Amino acid sequence: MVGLHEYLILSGVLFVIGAVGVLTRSNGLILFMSLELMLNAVNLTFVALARYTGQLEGHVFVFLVTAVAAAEAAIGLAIFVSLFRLHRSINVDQMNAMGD
Amino acid sequence: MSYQFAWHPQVWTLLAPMMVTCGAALFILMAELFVKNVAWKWPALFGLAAATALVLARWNTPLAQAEEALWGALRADRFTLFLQVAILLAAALSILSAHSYGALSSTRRGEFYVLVLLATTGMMVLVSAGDLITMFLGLELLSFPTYVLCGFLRRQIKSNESALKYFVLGSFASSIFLYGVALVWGAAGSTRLVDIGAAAPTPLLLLGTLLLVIGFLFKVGAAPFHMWVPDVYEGAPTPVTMFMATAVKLAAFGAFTRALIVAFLRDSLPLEGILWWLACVTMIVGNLSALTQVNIKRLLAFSSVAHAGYMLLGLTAVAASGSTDGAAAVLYYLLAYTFMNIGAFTVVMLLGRRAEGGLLFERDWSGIARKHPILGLAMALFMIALGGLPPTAGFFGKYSLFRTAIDAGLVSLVVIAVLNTLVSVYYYLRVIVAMYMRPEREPSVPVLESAGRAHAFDGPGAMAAEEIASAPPPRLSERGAWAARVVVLICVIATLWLGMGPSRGAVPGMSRIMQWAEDAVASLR
Repeated sequence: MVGLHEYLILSGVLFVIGAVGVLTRSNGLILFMSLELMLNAVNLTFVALARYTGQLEGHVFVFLVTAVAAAEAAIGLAIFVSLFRLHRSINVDQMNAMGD
Repeated sequence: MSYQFAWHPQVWTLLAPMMVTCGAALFILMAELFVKNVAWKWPALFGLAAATALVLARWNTPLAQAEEALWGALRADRFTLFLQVAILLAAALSILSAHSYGALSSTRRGEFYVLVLLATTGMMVLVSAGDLITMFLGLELLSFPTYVLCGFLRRQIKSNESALKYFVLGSFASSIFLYGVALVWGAAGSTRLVDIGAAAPTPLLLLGTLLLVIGFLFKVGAAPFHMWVPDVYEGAPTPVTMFMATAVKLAAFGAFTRALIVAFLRDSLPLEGILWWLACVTMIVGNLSALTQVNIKRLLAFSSVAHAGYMLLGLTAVAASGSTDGAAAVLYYLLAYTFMNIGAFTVVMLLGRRAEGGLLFERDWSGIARKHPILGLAMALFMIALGGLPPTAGFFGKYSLFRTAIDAGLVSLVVIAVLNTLVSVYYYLRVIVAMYMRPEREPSVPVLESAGRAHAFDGPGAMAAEEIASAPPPRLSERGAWAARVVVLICVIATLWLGMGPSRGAVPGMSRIMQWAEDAVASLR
């Protein structure tokens, strides 16, 4: 029987994988996927807790988070496209125009 | 619990200001399709003014009737009203400044005002949220338009990089915040701040609270989560930078203060110790990094990190003593900081362009005060105010912060803060020295920041290479400069006026603002 703890641990591990991905990867798209992974780890937490406590709220939160993640995806990809036009690359390691 | 779907009139009056700013944004967005060549700042400013009037109309609601709407999702206490007015003011001043900023005020750029208005709506939601999920939505509604605003100069590499960095780190912070919401909700069984404050302290709750605090610290730009601040502030168009440095900070600090006082302060969590170190590290990192900056926008960015540290000092005082005086001092400081910073950035915008595109103040600003005496004087005043010297708003703001911290027994932290203030005076004075005491130099050849690094994109519909390379840095349109001058004037008056009150009641209206801040904080409990 898989209980609440396993789900919480899984979502925690997914969240950390996402966070490490954001901090270490240099390809913009992989970075972006890591961000989405973090949000979906949170969704898993919400659903598991909602199921465990029997509160419907958690399921509603997941819908809210999904909507927010979609908006975030739209803006993030637009920023990447705009940068690609100037840089011809979305490698974040090359983003060093600033600082004197 | 039975949810009666009763829409009291008071619910509408609470929602009205946000609906007005949001409605103004949607109106501009739609109208722009049909009408060209309209000065879109006027509808935007009208929307902000109407929203301010609606907030002020509620001002005299007695504190005992601090209302809740939508089952605690939004609260309309004095705290909300105080911060909403301040945010609307900061947004209006930023819009006026932006009018003078050539690249943004070209008549077809209604989107700029749309984005500012939407971000303002998000901030108003954020400061009035009494529920963590509402707070998260407010935070995202604030952040998304701001990401886009940072990248508003699409042809400039710096602006785009600024947007990318803010987007990645901002989303990262939002995810951490959201994970905190999930854990706290699981532990407390509710996302309402009041219920969380009353919940039993389990390890899950404490972990969630820590994640929420980290999320807030990212947004206010406190060390060690400040890495994004200098790059984002430098690359963003200057009116956007001032909007981020003031309005976003007002909203994030406001929500943080509310969450701290209503929900987070409990004996089982060593928040006082955590905040103590954060305030200490933030002040030191901000000030020491600012010492070596030559780019004025980066200098102001690090100075904004340092100021976040001073405000964290006020919150540490709240955590240490349980008295809310520290939070009132933080609110006052936020207000003072808003005027000083908007003023400083507006002068940077005006003078930076006249110095042949130069933001490197030691090289490009030498002797500039002789050419532009009034703007130079204003800049000197803002630098003095940011450094915390009398007779300015910065002095009284710091004075009340440090006093409440001493009352709370944080003497060693206040000593560190005072030493930091002394360090900060050095780099603020460097700007004044460059403006007044250095000989005037021959104007240097304008550097096209993006030109050397731009590459053409060969795909269909892309811009031609020479078009990118020759895209000039945004020029200040002389015709529209009146708006920025008005902003500078307002900020000078406010900075001086807010700074004349160490002896309370000496200046009319002075004690009232501090009283409003105290009322605002008192309404949280």
